[in-house]
Amino acid sequence: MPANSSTSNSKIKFLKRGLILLAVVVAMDQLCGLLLHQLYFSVTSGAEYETTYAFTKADADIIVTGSSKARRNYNTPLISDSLHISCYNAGHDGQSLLFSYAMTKMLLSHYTPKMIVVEMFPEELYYKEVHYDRLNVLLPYYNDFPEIREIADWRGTRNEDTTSIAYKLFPFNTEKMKLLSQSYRYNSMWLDLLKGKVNEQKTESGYLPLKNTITENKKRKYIEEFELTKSYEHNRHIDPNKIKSLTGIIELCKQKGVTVVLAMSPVLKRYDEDPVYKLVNEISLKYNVSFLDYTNDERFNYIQYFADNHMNKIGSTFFSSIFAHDLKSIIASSKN
Amino acid sequence: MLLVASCVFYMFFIPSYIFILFFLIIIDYFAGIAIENAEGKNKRLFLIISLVANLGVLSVFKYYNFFAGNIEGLASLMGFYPNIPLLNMILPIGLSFHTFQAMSYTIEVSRGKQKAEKNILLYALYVMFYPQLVAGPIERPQNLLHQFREEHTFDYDRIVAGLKLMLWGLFKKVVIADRCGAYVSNVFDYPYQHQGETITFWCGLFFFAWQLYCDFSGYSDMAIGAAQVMGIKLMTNFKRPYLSKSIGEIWQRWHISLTSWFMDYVFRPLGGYRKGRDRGAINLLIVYFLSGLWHGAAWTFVFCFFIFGAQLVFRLYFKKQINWVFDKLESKTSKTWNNILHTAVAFITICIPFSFFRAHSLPDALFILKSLFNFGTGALSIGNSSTFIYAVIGIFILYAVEIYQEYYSKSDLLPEPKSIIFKYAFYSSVIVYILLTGVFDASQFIYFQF
Repeated sequence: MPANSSTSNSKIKFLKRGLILLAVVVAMDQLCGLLLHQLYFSVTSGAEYETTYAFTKADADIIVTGSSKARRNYNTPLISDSLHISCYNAGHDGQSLLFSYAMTKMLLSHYTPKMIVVEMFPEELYYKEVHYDRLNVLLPYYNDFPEIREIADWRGTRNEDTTSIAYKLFPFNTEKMKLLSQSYRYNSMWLDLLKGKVNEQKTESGYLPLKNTITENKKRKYIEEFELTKSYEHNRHIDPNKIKSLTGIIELCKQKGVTVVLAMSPVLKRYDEDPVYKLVNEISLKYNVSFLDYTNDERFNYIQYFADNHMNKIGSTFFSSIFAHDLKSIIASSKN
Repeated sequence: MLLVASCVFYMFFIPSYIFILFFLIIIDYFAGIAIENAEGKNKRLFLIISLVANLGVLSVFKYYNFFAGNIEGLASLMGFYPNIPLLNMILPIGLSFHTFQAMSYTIEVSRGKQKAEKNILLYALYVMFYPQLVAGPIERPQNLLHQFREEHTFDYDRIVAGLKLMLWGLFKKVVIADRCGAYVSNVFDYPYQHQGETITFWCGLFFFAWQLYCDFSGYSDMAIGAAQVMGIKLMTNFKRPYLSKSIGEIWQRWHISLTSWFMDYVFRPLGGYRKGRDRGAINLLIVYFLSGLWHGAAWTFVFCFFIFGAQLVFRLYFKKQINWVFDKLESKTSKTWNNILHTAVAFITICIPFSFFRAHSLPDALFILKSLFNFGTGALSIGNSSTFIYAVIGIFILYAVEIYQEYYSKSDLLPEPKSIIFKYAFYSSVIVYILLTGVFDASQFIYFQF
């Protein structure tokens, strides 16, 4: 009997201490989340600030969305000067169409721009794990902006095989469970937030040009490596969420009367036969939106225009002047 | 219950592969009984049947395509072009671990050190016990089987210690290993983009060493901790290897369950060092060659472990000279400096072959190896500098904790405050730090692939 009673005491002690620990963890997590929330929305420079600005305050006539390619290749002050309307670059390093979809939702929730340029990488529509990982930039907005929740939740269902035993036993969206924590929303951000506080990095209407120029040798190595990396990618397939994002952007813009332009700015590596072109073309024809493709444009086939796979300042300025000229005719035809 | 849970756990990956496990369990179960009842040559015959079944399954799933590819390559050099069909199958998760664990059972029964298990369910649990099913530790029947028969009462201290070990394992995995992994991928997935960047390659290599260690020992800690919560004591798999003062010591502290498996079942039966230094060296090279092959069906793994073996052989032959060099470098007054010197040299020595372990191919590995010694420039931090800083903070915490464990507490747990209030604050901070800095994006344990 004493053994039983001691076991039972142990169980009560375990339960009691477990509950206290849980309470302390929850309190500390909430407190930490609150502090980081304050810090996040008080920074005045850096990628976090730019995202918040685009999500809540941007009011330009033309918005360019996309990845680092958008951010580096589109000289928005120049486009703005050429077209005599305001233009803002809402590109975000490391992002993809999934982020552009969230960006469009957020933009259209607070104002109606005249045009949204959706910059894409030729490989954009393929499934890439990392594009879901990087959607973590949406998590600080999860509480206050319900528009982006659907897209942020994709982080938890991206690989889910709904026919698997695991899913049948535990049909959970893991991301939703993680989001019970307030601190998790700022996962891997505290250092960048502190940097944003200390080191102010200002952009010109979101445009952040690169200054260096790639060498022939580095270009060759880059292309070799790119092909090699592609060969490691097994089970390469078009991501249905990216198709959903692309068509979602177009449909949302159509509803609000916003002109959509799908664009692929120049790249270091030529893509001749990729099926993505055909797919994007089909979508653009189906929805009657413009698709401007500069990826195989010979005018940009010079290494002095590139820093790496992104254009440098010289290249992006040259490209943006041509792009602005092409936009002029799209704006003119949309007025007619 | 535990067996059912183990089956469900295994079936999370590829459900049909559980039949491979069942097949091996049935063979080894009956082989164990037959070995125990047999005499002389028959004993050996039943053991061979068991070993052939285990190694056969391992060969088909893990090595068939590797050997087929090599035979084709060799034949093409001689002007023949055979078209050997390849198998399009995913390797069953943890196959190398549970086949080795199964083999240790029949070998121990044949040696008379373990009685054959008569209860097939208990034997199945020995092979399938889910905390260590997919990535070890590779247990021995003497340590594990009897524990399944024992009654496990609720023991507060044991359970709490198990949970604390799991937390430390989780910290090592998501805060250190996966963070280092992001940096390592930047370097080793695109090595040619970093041509001439010697510092970047060294940094990538060191980070890979920490990634590998924290990934695998993190899993081991979680497995051992989870088993401890259930009342099962699994063997220690890592004993802070990067605090070792020689490469020999590192291998005594690294993946102990595999190293001791090869020592017990390959190295010693081959004669060990008993037949002289030359034979000992050959035995050592055989063991490390097999260990490389165990890790993966690729020449990169084989080369990596062969070099580890060669390093040990070098040490075997040139111990006097090595000691002479250390004598010159050592300080006469500072013992701490001498410890740091030995630890650093041992760490760097075992890091170099890791370039083969991480590289995608032999040419990539050779390029990386060359880049390590071309005395170029490069940067410590590449890509997002925060990744580098988070990783460095994690590594700093790792060393602080391990130095405390090694020299002060002699325990595998985190150093904790004595006061209960501070304990709550401490463990809550650890959990919140994991939530803030851990990498939670679908990354698997490296050793699951083996």
